[in-house]
Amino acid sequence: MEFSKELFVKESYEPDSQDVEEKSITYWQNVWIRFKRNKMAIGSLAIIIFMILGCIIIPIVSPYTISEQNLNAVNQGMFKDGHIFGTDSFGRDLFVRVWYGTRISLIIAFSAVAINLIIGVIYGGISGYLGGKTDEVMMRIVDVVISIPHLIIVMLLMVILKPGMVTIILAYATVGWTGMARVVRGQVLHLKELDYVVASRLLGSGALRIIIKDLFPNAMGVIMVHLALTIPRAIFTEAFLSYIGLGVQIPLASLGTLVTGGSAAFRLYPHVIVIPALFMCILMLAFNVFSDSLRNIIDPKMRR
Amino acid sequence: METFRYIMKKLIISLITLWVLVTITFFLMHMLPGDPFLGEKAISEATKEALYAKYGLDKPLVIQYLTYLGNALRGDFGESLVYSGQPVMKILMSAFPYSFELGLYSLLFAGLAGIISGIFSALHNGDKKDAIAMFIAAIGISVPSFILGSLLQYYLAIKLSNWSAVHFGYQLFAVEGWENAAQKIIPVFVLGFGELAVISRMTKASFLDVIGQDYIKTAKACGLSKFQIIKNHMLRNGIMPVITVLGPMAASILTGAFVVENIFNIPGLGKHFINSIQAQDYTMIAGTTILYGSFLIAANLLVDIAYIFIDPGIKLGKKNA
Repeated sequence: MEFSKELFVKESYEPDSQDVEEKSITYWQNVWIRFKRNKMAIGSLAIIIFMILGCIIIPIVSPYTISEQNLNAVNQGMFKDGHIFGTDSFGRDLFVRVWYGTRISLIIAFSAVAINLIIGVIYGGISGYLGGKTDEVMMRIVDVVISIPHLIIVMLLMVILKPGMVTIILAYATVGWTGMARVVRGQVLHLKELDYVVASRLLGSGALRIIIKDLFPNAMGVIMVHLALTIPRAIFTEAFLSYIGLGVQIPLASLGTLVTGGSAAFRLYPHVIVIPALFMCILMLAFNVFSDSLRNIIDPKMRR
Repeated sequence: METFRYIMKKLIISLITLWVLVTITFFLMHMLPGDPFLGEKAISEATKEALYAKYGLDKPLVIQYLTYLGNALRGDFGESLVYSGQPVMKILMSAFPYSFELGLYSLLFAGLAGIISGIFSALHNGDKKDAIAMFIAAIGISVPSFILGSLLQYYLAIKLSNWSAVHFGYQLFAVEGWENAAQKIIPVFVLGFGELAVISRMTKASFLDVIGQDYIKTAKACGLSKFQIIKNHMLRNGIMPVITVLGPMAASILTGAFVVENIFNIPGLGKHFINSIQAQDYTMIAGTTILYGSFLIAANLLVDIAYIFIDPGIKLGKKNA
């Protein structure tokens, strides 16, 4: 065997390639990388963003308004005279109404969940951080509130207060915070014993600083998962209240009231109920799939 | 001893919850604007006072509250404002069997079908069949029962049944009512479908845990058939976590029943509840709320207690951590 000189090529020495260190990424960058790989997660997120943009933009740019009646064009089918989804029994354009209803449903869901977040984080944070007797008492209160059937209390409140958007949000928030409080409390109990928190305390951080700077950012993942899980529940509660006649009142319309209103003319004009129902199911499905994927990515142990 | 203390603790919390529920209901009902006798014809001051005295409304609020509490303990919620002269409890008791039957069938359907589809998913974890089963489960969770109910009522009970009546002289499903199987199948399916999805997902997660265990490998190595392994080794352990969802499930079946009973015109509790809300029949609303509440609280208590007997490994008192 002969060795020609061509076989031996001098390797150019690059010190950079020897570097074993990877670029460090933050927790949320890591979550985002894993999120991008998950087709279901990306798909559902895309649908949610599409729905949010649609419900903001379409009612603004549409030539019709939600309560504008045109009694000459009642119960039109789809794609007639510029009405993409046709009209309802008052001649109102269904396309605008469905998007507007999505907007109202989403506003209700997001606000209710935001209030739950604030109350739950404060309550759970205090309970978990203080621990001991305070924790015991505060958690027994949560036990009691959680055992009272939520929907029934929400319905009772709605009977007494005047039905409307703000009322639905308030009624849902009075009972909805317990789940979040439990989740946050569990996280805080677990985190506050970890070394970095003890170190922070030794360095002289006060309670508030520890909660805001040390505990909260690390509990964020679990909180996000719980938030995503409660949004479809809030949407469902709103629809349910609308169904039994305690929902938002005219001239407002939510997806729930659209479906309920459509059920009157349903047998003659199925599209009046099918379209809002479809919107609602797609929205719920997207949020459910999204929260499921998020949970699997952020906390695989919670998969049960 | 530990078990006893755990049960006592749960029992006390349940009783407190019940008391809070009755109290909230009473004071919320009291906050309502208006006068219970205002709707009738103009009545003189003397008659009004007599009526107030009869129902104890002239007494201080605290006395009224204690009276209500005492009456509620004996199952007396007063008389319905709409069906005059009818005690609330009597109406509720006549409606209860319908709701109970509907709920029970739905739970059985959801439980059986959910566990089977969950096991199926777990055995085919990750492939197409699993994806299809889990997608159906996701739909079950995402479609509200009033949508599913209205659609099925239209397409199955009206369209399909008319078609079958014309072509075979036999009507497949009935549109409403609660007497025979033709009427019962669709409501039970609608009510159970959402719960089926929950149970199916729970079963899948739990069975995936069990499939990875060593004793399943041992059983396989011993040459047992797939069916034997599932039946004798997986089922008992895999099914346990599923029991925990039964408590919350009782709640969602009850509230789901409001809608289903209303759509299919079943004379159960839910239909009465919705009617009483729409007719503003306040004594009826309060009575139904408390009855529902007590039922759910009892269901949760039973599930909590049942769970410690089924799974002795559960750490008592640390469930919330």
